Amino acid sequence: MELRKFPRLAELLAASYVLGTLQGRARLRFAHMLRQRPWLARIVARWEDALMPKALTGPARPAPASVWHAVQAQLPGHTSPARMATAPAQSWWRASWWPALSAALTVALLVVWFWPTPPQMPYTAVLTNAQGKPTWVIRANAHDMRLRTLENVALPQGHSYQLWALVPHRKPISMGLLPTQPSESPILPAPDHIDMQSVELVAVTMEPAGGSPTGQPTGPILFKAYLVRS
Amino acid sequence: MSRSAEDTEELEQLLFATAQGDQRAFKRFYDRSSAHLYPVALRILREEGKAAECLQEAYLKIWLRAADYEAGRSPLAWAAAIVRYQAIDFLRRLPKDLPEWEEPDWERADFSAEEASAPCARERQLLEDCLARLPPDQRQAISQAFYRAATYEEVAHFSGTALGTVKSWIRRGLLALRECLEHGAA
Repeated sequence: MELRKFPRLAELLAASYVLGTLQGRARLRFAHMLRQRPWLARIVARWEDALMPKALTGPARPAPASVWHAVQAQLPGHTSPARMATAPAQSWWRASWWPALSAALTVALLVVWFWPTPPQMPYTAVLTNAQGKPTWVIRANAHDMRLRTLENVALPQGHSYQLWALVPHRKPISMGLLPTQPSESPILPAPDHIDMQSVELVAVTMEPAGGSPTGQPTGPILFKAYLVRS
Repeated sequence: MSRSAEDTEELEQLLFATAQGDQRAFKRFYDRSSAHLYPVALRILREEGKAAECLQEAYLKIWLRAADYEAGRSPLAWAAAIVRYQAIDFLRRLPKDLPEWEEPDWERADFSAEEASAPCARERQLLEDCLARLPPDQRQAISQAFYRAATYEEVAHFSGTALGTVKSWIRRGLLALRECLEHGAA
């Protein structure tokens, strides 16, 4: 059905989309249509312009500080300021949180050939969960880490799983938050100052929702894996 | 009012810069907008933790989609829509417990203190005028759906009205609203 022939219906769908009464599969279908039809996106934009001002009434309220920290952690090139210090950073394996938690580590060291590896994806790591089941597969190159999630991941409420790149003699580098569902396959850009070839290990810690507020791991390492040239 | 126009222009410039990958501009956009956008998420999700998570995802989308922002639109309305959609997505993931509808009366809610300088005051006034022209059933149903991003079922449940009736009120109301808004904007 060509929606363009039914302008009233298009208006109604657009308004319902903005309002929120359009839901479920219909909402997903409409969102998909929006991406392919600029004329429909313009109708939605008009409804947004009309309705959103009313959503913006009321007193302003500062967002919690953790929100910006979490957003910033996912921006390209983000590194914790302490990394830039000239004094040698404490080796991560001597960090206070390491010895108590090494007993909880699960080490995966498989090279995975699930799919043909393009020449520009030279490194692979498989993160397995506590039961030894492969959970995340990471393909890393000079520019980014591409994730595939193989299983639904249980995550306690109010927490997140954060991925760290570990380079010898340096503090862990945040790559971002991990997805918890197989439908999510994000691409995590490499921070600007990191040569991905120097990354030996990736590790996963449990952090508060939105990621570590400090820029360094605050929670226990749950899984780690070596990046292997594939 | 001119202060509001300056704010809008600044926000617009910050969005353009963000679209070029300027992270400092994005931070400034965040600083200027987050206190307006946080309540949008809070009102729908009703919980600080969820609203914070929602806001975080929304700002990441704002970062990724800043290039989609078209000049001339309200930057805050554009961003607020992203927050709203994110909150709607979160809502559908939450357990289906329908809490009591202990709502203030949104139609007469007293936000009078800063109304004149609220963002997009002129657009909001037009919407209020058009809403006021709707039959009360349609207006109330739309208001209820709007403020909590409620589904037809939820509105029907809380107003004690048949689902089909609620749908028809909202649909007719939206079409009438469209007519009125077009005339008003002309």
